[in-house]
Amino acid sequence: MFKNAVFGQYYSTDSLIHQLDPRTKIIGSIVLFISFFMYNDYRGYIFITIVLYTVIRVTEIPLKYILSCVRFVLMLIIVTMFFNLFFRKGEVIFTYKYIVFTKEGIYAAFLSGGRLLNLVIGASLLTLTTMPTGITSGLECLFSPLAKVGVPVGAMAMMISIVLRFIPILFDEFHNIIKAQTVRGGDYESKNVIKRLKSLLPAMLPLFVSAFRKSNELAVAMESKGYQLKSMRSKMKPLYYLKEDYVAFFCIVFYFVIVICL
Amino acid sequence: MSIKIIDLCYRHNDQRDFFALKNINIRIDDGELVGLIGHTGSGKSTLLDNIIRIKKPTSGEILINDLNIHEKGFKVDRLRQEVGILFQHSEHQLFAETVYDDIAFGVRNKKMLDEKQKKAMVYEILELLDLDKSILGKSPFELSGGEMRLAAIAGVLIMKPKVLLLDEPTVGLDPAARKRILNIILQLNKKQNITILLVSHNMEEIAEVTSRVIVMDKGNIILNGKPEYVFSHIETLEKSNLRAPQAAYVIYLLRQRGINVRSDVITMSDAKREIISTFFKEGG
Amino acid sequence: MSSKEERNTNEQLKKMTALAMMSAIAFLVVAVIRIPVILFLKYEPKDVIIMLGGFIFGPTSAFVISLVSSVVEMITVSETGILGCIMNIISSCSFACTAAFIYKRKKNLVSAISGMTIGYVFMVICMLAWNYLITPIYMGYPREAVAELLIPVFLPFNLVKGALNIGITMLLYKPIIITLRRLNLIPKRDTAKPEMISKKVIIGAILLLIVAAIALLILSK
Repeated sequence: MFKNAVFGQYYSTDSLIHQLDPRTKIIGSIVLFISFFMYNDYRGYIFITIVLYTVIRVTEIPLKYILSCVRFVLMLIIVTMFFNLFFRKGEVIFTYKYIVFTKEGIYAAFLSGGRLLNLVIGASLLTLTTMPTGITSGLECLFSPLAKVGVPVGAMAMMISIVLRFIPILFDEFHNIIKAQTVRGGDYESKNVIKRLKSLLPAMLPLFVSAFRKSNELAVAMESKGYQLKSMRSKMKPLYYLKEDYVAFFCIVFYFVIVICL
Repeated sequence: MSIKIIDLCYRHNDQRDFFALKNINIRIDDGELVGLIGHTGSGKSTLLDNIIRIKKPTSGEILINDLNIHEKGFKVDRLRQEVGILFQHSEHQLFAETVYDDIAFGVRNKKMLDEKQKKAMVYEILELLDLDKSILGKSPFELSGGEMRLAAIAGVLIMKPKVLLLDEPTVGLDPAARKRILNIILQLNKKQNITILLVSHNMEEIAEVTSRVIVMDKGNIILNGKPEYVFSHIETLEKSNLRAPQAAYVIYLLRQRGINVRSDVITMSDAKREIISTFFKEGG
Repeated sequence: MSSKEERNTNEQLKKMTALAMMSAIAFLVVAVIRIPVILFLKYEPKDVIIMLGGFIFGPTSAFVISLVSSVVEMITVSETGILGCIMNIISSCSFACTAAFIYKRKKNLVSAISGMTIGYVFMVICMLAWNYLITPIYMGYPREAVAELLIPVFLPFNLVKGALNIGITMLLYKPIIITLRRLNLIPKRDTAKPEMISKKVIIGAILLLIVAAIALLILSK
């Protein structure tokens, strides 16, 4: 049930962007993110919006799906627009009782609302086009120079992989535990918060016991296969750049330059 | 306490076309001990979840004692008390500080009972399960695997259910513990008249204790009848990734070779008796 | 490898998988338990899990759990991207790491409660500061508007969140740790040395964060 959400918003297509190296996409994501803070007027906004939607078309992911992923943040967007609408001072257009609508307010509301929407969609692009395991690989590669300063990059990447691997398992188990306690009188649905809190321990304790058992077994299994914390590990699917990646890098740099100039 | 399932269809929330349960029609009468078998993914656990109202049917009805459990006004607490369920690896649900606390968890909210009465109820269950009172003070995590499972069973029995749904109650136990639990199941059914639905992958167990067997395959019921009847359909069972009890295979192979043994034999002890008597009849 | 080193690797490996498991539980808990408090702000008991990890394994471990679970959230269901991830980490760490640090000095009930209270106050301050300084840049609305919201909305939310965190942690800590110790699932003493991340790196990371925040502030002017 939850297994779909765990692998996040990844939507599989054969698009060019999906095939890019994760590192390229991560860097592209970061550049996109930074660029969002670099414009303040409508010219920059239009340019970025065009670029964003072009990229979306290239990924071949249906817009409906993308919008459904960000619907939780919709509330935030509405609040933002609300703020700009009613709290900006400036040239008054009309008043309704005590509420003042200003030209700057309306302008800023749409600008910030649209920008937030772009921001959220831009942030999701990475997770929409790259599997979590791919992103982990990419991050591990990109951060590997930090290993020389003592940051345990390999171990962290390993931990992230373990988490990704075990979330569905723990989720099923948690679900079963809650079922078992529910039929014994545990209350997980009531509006009464106190009742729900009382039922927390019967749900959490077995989960912890089971999780720690698994982690111990995992440690033994890893050790018996020769896993060393500090050694260099080879990969089954090593990351390497294709010519599409170089093209993509060029586009990214080009885009960034334009944004700076605008 | 009877259970009637009428045209039950169930589909998970996030799946549009795949039905985990398709047109299930089952009737379990008061006092029966029914076995439920099926390959992994056939829908057994989903069916149980529907009966105890943890999942809601997409269509169809579930009647317990002829009352629709999804009708307005139906008391879910009563359902939880009268229909007990033991999930797979039930020992994983133990959490309390002492075994006593864990067993009494099901009745801790009952205001009508005082401590003395609760204690008496716990002692009663211990006697039923043939457990020593010394177990009560220990932490559930100090117990052996078999004891933990018995403690979990006790935790369900204390609510005095009239129906018990058991999802693989003997899986993962050593033969002695398995035998013990099977005996308890028989006792609960025969002496306390508790209606039991037993889900298991162990065909010998099913052949041993049940009076009726239901076979599920990919969300459908493909066989429903007496164990002798169901287990004689060896090909059908094997097509569904199941098998018949070992005794049934022996009988089947003997009959294939032309030896005239009765075909409705499914337990080892019956098979032994039947083979010996046929052997002597045929003149050794 | 000498047997002492072997034992060490074993302990370190066990610690790593344990922290990974706790991060998984933290992620899980966010997905399963969400209680709306005010407006769109919802409470999830993730900080309780990180807190428990901090009490069991120490303040650095709390940081690690927080980092790993936030990163996993970001790469699977990121709604707010990297800034949201960082805010998550700061929120959890300001609470859990301070408390775990104080608890580490003296492991008794008093220091646990006082540690959590101090962490609680610190977290509220950090969150208010973050929401005042960074969020407006992110969202693009004026600081004055946020200031109006700060007291009536953000403050009570963080107060309630912190209080719930402390309460639930107190409820869960003792039974869980007694059971885990009894089952030998966690080391009786923290014998895994050296620490996974050296203190220098953490200080470096915090400095980096502060520099980045200042840069962001300047950029937005």
